Order: sequence, then C-alpha cells, then structure tokens
Amino acid sequence: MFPLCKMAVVCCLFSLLLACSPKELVRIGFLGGMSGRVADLGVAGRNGAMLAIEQRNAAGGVHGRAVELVVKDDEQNPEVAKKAVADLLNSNIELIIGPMTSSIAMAVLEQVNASKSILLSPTVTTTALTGKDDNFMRVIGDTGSYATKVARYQVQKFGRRTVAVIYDQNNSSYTESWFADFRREFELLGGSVVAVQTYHSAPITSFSQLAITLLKQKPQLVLVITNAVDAALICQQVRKLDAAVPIEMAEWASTERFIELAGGAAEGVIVSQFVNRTDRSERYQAFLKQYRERFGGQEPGFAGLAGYDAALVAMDAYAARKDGESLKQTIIRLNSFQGGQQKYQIDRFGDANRTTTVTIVRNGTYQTLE
Amino acid sequence: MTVRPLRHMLVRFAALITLLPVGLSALLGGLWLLPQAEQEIASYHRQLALAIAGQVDSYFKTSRVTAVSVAGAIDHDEHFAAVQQAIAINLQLLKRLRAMYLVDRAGRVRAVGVSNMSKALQDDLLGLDLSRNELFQKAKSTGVEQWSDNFLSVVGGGLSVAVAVPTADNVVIAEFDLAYLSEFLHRTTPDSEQVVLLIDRRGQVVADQAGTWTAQQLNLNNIPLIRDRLNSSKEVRGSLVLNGVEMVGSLHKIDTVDWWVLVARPTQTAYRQLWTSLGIMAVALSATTLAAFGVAMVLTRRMSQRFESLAGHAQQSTGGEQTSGWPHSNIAEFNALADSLEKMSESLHERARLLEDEVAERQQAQEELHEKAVLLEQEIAERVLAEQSLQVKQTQLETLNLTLEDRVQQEVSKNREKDIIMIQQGRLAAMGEMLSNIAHQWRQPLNELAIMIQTLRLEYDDNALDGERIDEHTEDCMKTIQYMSQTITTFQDFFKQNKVVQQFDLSAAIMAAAGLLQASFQAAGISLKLDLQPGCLLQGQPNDISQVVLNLCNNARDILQARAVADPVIRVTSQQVQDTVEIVVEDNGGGIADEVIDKVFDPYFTTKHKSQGTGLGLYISRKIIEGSFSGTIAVEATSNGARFQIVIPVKLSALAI
Repeated sequence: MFPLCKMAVVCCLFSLLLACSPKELVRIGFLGGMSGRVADLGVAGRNGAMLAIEQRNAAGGVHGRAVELVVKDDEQNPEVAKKAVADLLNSNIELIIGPMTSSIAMAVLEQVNASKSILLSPTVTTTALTGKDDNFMRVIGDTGSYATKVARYQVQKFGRRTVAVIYDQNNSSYTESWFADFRREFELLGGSVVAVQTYHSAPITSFSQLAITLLKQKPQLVLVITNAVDAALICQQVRKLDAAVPIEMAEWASTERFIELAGGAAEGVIVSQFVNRTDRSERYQAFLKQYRERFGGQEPGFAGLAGYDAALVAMDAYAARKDGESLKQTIIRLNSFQGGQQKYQIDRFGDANRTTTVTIVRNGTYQTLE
Repeated sequence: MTVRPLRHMLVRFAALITLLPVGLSALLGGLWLLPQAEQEIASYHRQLALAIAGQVDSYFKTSRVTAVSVAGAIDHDEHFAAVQQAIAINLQLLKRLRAMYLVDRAGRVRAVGVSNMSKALQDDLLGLDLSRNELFQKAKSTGVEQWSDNFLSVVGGGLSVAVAVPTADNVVIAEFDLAYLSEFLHRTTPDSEQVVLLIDRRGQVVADQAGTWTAQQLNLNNIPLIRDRLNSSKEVRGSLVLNGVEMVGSLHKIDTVDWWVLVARPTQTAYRQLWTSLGIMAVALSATTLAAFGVAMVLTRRMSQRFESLAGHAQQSTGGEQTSGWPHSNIAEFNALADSLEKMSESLHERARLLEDEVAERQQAQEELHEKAVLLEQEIAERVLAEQSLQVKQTQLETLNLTLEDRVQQEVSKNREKDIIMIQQGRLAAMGEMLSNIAHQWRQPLNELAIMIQTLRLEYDDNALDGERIDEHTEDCMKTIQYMSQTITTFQDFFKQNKVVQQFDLSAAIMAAAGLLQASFQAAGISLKLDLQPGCLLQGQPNDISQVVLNLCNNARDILQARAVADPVIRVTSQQVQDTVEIVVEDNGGGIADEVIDKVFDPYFTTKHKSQGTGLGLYISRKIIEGSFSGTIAVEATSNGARFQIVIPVKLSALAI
C-alpha cells in the first residue's frame, strides 16, 4: 500500500510539473530600418507587427504558445542587415517579417535562400523579385501594378506628356524598378521623360539645386520616387520655384509624416496608396483605433498596416501548419488572407495581389481619386 | 482506526517538532522581511529616479533658455539677419542644440540654423512651409511655450525633442538632440542590470542607457505598469516584464516635459541580498533540523528494534518453537514485558498441544466422510449419464416413429407409379403381339378376297359373269370384309380402357383371348385346346382376364416356337371349385428351369431375346390377378412343360347371380 501511495504522489508532482512548465515560444523575426532620418517606415512596420502579435497573445497565442517578435534594426545599411539576418538565422528563426525596403531585400536574399527560413516582407515591391520561387514572400504587389496605373492615370486623365523624375539611389531596387515600370507605360502611351535626377539620401542633401535642374525642361509633371522626408523637402523646393507644376509621388512617401513636413507644398500632390484611406469598414476602423491607442496616438500609415498584415500571415501559417510542411508551403496552401483592411491572395511565388488607390492631398489629408 | 508502525509515528512526531521552527521562520520572512525588502528597493529606485528626473529637468530648463533668449531678441529687433546670427551663436554655445528656426505667422521659416549646416542646406530650409507642424500650431494657437513629443529630425536624422516659444508674431523652435540624454543615462547608471528609461507621454522610449530602444522608437504602452501611469500623476511602482525579463521598477514624473523616468532592476537581482540572507538562515536552520532529526531517528530506531526483537521472539513462539532466553536489556519495563511474554508463551504451548490432538481426531473423521461423499458423487454421476443416454435414444425413436408412416406412404406411392408405368409398357408389348395376331387373322380373308377378285375376271372372260353372279361375289366379299372389320372391333374392345367394375363370364373372356390368338397359333402350328366350364362369373374387368390368358398363351407359344416342340399343345381349362374359380394354362414346351422358376413373376425378367420380350408379361399378370381380383397365380413344372394356375375367389354378389 505504501509504495503505491508513493508512486501516486510522484505521478501527481510530475504531472503538476509538466502542467506548470511553460510552452515553447513561437519566435518570429523582424527586420526593418528603425533608426535614422527615414525610420518611420520601419518603426511603423514593427509597430504593426507588434500590435498583431500582442493581440494574438492576448487571445491565447498560436495553439496555446505565446508569440515573440525578435526585432533587428537594419539601419538601412546592407551590411548591418546581413549581420542581423545571420543573427536571426542562427537563432533558428523560421520566418522573418521584413525588410521594409527593396534594396535591403536584395542584399539579404541570397543569405535567406541558402537557409530554410523565409522572408515575409510587408512593403518590398521591386519587380526584381516577382514570379520567383525563392524564400522571399510578401503581402504586397510589385511596383509594376502601381507604377503603370499611375502612368496611365497621368496621361489619360490629365493629358500630361512630359515628365521630370527624381529618385533616391539608396533604395535603387525599389526606385529604379518603380521608375522603369512607370517609364514603360508612360512612353507607350506617347509620353516622354525629359529629365532624370538621382541622389543618395542623406541628412546633408540639398534639394534646391536638384529642383532647379528638374524644372529646367518645363515638364508637365514632376515625379518623385523617394521616402516621405525627402519627398516633403523636394516638394517644398519645387513649390518655391514653381507654384503650379503638378507633382506625382510613389507610394513609399505616402505617410502622414509627408503631409506634416511638406506643409502647404503637399497640397495637390497625387500619390498612389497601398491603403484605402477612405475605408470606413468596421475592421479597418477597429485596427486604426487599436493602433492609435497602443502607440500614443500615432497613425499606422501603410507601413503599420502592412506590418500588421504580415504578422497575421505569419501567425496564421504557424497555426495552420501541418506536420512536415514548411511555412512557405503552408502560406501557399492557405493562399487567401484577411488583412487589417482587405482580403488578398498570395500566389505560389509568394507575391500578393493587393489593390492600390490613387489619392490627392487636399487640406492636409489624402483624398481618394480613383 | 489506522494502524501504523511505531517507528513511522515517532519519525513523524520528530519531523513535526523539528520542522515547526522552519515553518515559523518562513512565515516570518514572508510577512515581515519581504515587504521590508520591497520597501527598500522602492526607496532606492525612487532616489535614483528623482536624481535623474532632476538632471533631465535641468537639461530641458537650460535648453529652453536658448530658445527664450532668441525669442526675446526678436521682440526688440525683428531683423531676420540678426536673428540668424543669434541662432548661429546659440548653436555654437550649446552642442545638444540640433537646430533652431524662426517661423513666421504663415508658417514659413524665416531664419534657420542647423549644427554643421552647409550654405546650400540653409538656403533649402529658408522659406520652408511648416504650417502643418503640430508644435508650431500648438504654440501659435495657445501663445504659450510648448514641448514636443520626440520625433525624428529632418535636419539631423536623430531623435529629437523641440521647444516652441511664441513671440508676438513668430514662433521660435529649438530642436535638441535626445542622444545626449541616452549618453547621460549611460554615464549615470553604468550598472548593466539596472534599467533606466525616459518615456514620453505616448509611452515611447526617448532615452535609454544603450540608446537602441530610443533609436528604434520602442513604445512600451503595452506594459500595464507604464499604461497605468497615464491615469496617475503620482509615482507608480510594481513589477513588469521588459524584453522578456521580470523586473521590479518605479516610474517618476519629469515636470517640465511631462515625461517619466522608469528605474527597474531584474527581480532576481533586486532581491538577491534578501534571498542570500534567507538562504544562509535556511541552511543554518536545515542543519540544526537535520541534526535533531538524526538524533530522534537513532533513538526511535533503538526503541523500535527492542520491540521488534520481542515481537520476533513472540513470532517464533507462535510458530510452535519452544522459545527460551527472551531478550532482556537495561530497561526495567522491557524486562517485565519479556518475562510476561515468556509465561504467556508457555501457557499457550500447552493449550496448543491439547488442541492439536483434538484437531487430528476430527480430521480423520472428516477424511472418512469425504471418501464416502466422493463415492456417492461418482454413483450419482453414472446414473445421470445413463439417464441422459436413455433420453437421447428415446428421442431418436420418437423421431423415427414420427417419420415412419410418411416414408411407408412415400414408398407405396412410388411403387404405384412404377406399376402404372410397367402396366403401360406391358400393354404396348401386348399391342405388338396383337398386331402380329391381326396380321395372321387377316391373311386368310385377304387371300379369299384376292381369289374372288381374280375369279371375277376369269368369269367375265368366260362370259359366266352375270348380275346374279356379281351379287354372290359381292355378298361373299362383304362377308369377308365384315369378318375383317369384326376382327378389328375385337382387338379394339380388347384394348378399350373400361374402369367400370362389372360382372362377366369367365369363359367368354378366355374365348375372346383365344379368338385373338387363333390365327397366329394356326400359323405356328400350335394346337390350342380349351376346356372351359361355362357360367363362371367374376367381378371386375373381362379384358384383364383376357390379357392374363393372352400373356400366358403368348409365353407358351414363344417357348414352343423357340424350342421347336413336336406337336405343340397349349391347354386352357377353367372351373369353379367351391368359392373359387381356377384357371390353368399348361403347355408341353419342356418346362421352366429350377433356378429361374422363382423369378418368373419378377419385373423385367425374361428368358427371351431383348427384341422379343420385355419381361413384364408375367409380372403384370400377377399384378392384375392379385390387385384386381384378390387372387393368386402360381407356376409349376410338369413332366413335359409348365403349368400356370390362377385361383380367384368368387365374390358374394357373383354367387348370388
């Protein structure tokens, strides 16, 4: 009788110990530029991902396992990014949300392809990664869809035939891809590019001289392909010289920070958006409210929403993963995902089909044109 | 009632007594020492936080002075060039001042200075539209000095905080580099385990020792302790999880900018001293407890061993051994117990012997009884077996009885069907015979007809044929033809199936048969002699008797022909003898062999060639005699042939006629 009792007590203690031992964390990496002058994209993306993960953890995690976001700052520097990715891969992290810019994606792609992990980018849109069966996936479409739409819009709707372009070479994978897609469509429809200015974004960059050169050919349109801060400064310089020339921007700059920094120069600027800013749906409004509450009233912008969507895809993949399946296979199998705003599909190459809208800045807000 | 070993009970008591002080110490530690330690940690955090808050406060106060001084200068002289110069001087004097600019009422930058700024960049910045700048809008609308949240500086690139000082028409904005604050924290609290953070109104980290969280603009609003401070202007303290590490910390406000200082340490480090003290205490207590427990165990063991020794002796005694030398010790109580047990043991042994004798007797009686019982059981078992076997046989018998009648019935009906088939076959055979007879019967009249027809021709040729002669010939021919027709009718009658029982004359029936045979017998040269007693009447079918006689005569004819007997004779006699009628058919055909005489009435038995006989004639004859007339038919060999005797009882009705 006594040994039986002993055994029962040991069993009870053991089962209690098992019950008490915490479940292993689901660890998801994050790679984005979160320091420096143009960190708003990376910070918002990271915040979006954090919000999604905190919400999922509050609801019980993935199959009872808490999710942890392991954040790495790439400082918008390819070498720093490579080291950060190596650290994440060494920690056996299978899925990295990020990076936020195309140039960094191109820099770390080889490293990730050589591993079993995948990159799930919220905002990388270069066409250089489209239709490739590699370890890179994204919750966003490529520049091809946005740039051609904008080019068509400018020619067909406004009849603009000449364009002067300025773009940042620090993120050339994105900016050049965007420009090439735009140029192809614009020239196909009878337009011509009259001036191209490039620069490397830095705190000491002066835009006044660039603006003068840009407007020399008297273009019917100025196209700005750069980050929000630079775009704001360029718009300010262009407006100093010419109050009327229409300005078009790539969606990279379509953040609240642009409107704040560009001041009156932002008025009338046409910019395509990943986000439907007039969306009144309950889902999107709830997302906005939660984001603002969590981050002291800050706006998520497109990067916050994309980061949020990417984290949702990552966690859905972990939750739906079958035995012996890679996360990439799971994502391709699931195919359809509900984001914070829209429902979209990710194809077998890991590219998403998301719709964009064309907006114009009026009275300090983005208003949807199409 | 639960019974436990003495040793366990004593060990438990010893454990209780020794562990009680340990428990009390733990309680004391929990209720008094822990809150005391928490208080001390909080106090330490508070002092550190207050010191840092004071430093940061003074940082902001001195920073704002530069902006206020420039703003003051504008009030006296609105010449923007002078303002530009004042800005440049301030930038040189205060390293943490990142940028300073004068914004006019419309939000345009009128004067600007940025540390390490080129001329081109300055020209860029002049005239910038800052009307949408939140800080500018706030300062302009309220007319009082405003501090911004932290932000990424457009000009410097790093995290900054700005103060806006409004003047009558303009707003002076000064941006300060927040990296200085992180450096300051790093210098002040180099302890790597100690975390000191500055947090802004939105919960975002604006300075930390390493500067990384600041650079990444990490927002800690999700930590309950930090979220709570929004609802309270007092200091907040408690535990929190920071970067996966459990910590205890306190939050204190920085008045100038409405920011907070968080001072936290990992829980493990914070309570290290307390746990160390408690650990030492626990070790000392455990050592004492163990020593006391050990002594108690030894004493307990000795005492229980003595009991066990006595118990072992008693056990031996119980097992029937004659025990002596009960264990004694230096303890009086144990000795008394041993003596008493010894006496008790002796007394018990005596009683046990008596009991054993009695038990042996009873056991013997029981064994005998058992043997008888076994015998009885065997007998009963045998009887039961016999009874069961009887029952099985009875059941089989009953089953057999039940089906017997059915089987007899089936066999009878089978036989009947077989008989019908045989009779039919017999009739067919007889019909063959008949045809042969008809052929013989007709041969003579046919010859006569032929002759008469030929005679007609001859007489015509001789002109002897007149009407009278033709009438004669016609009459003769018609007679002959009527005779032939009569023959057919006779044969037809013979084969007519008449089921109606009737009374008939035996001799007529035999004559009918003889008539049918007459021609074939004449052809074969056999002499048929009939000796029939007239007036013998029988009940039944006359054709049946005719068929029997026909069969017997045909058999006799076949034998006579086969054996080519000289003067073949067949004799048929009939006569009434008392209540029976006797029919005898005998021949001089040499008789029947002894070995087959018993088989002649069997079906399909024949001595003839297959083409000649079916072997059914005699069988059918017997069936008719026995079945239709309740008579008998028998055969015997005579000196030169065979003799068939049929005996049929005459029915009462027949006798009455």
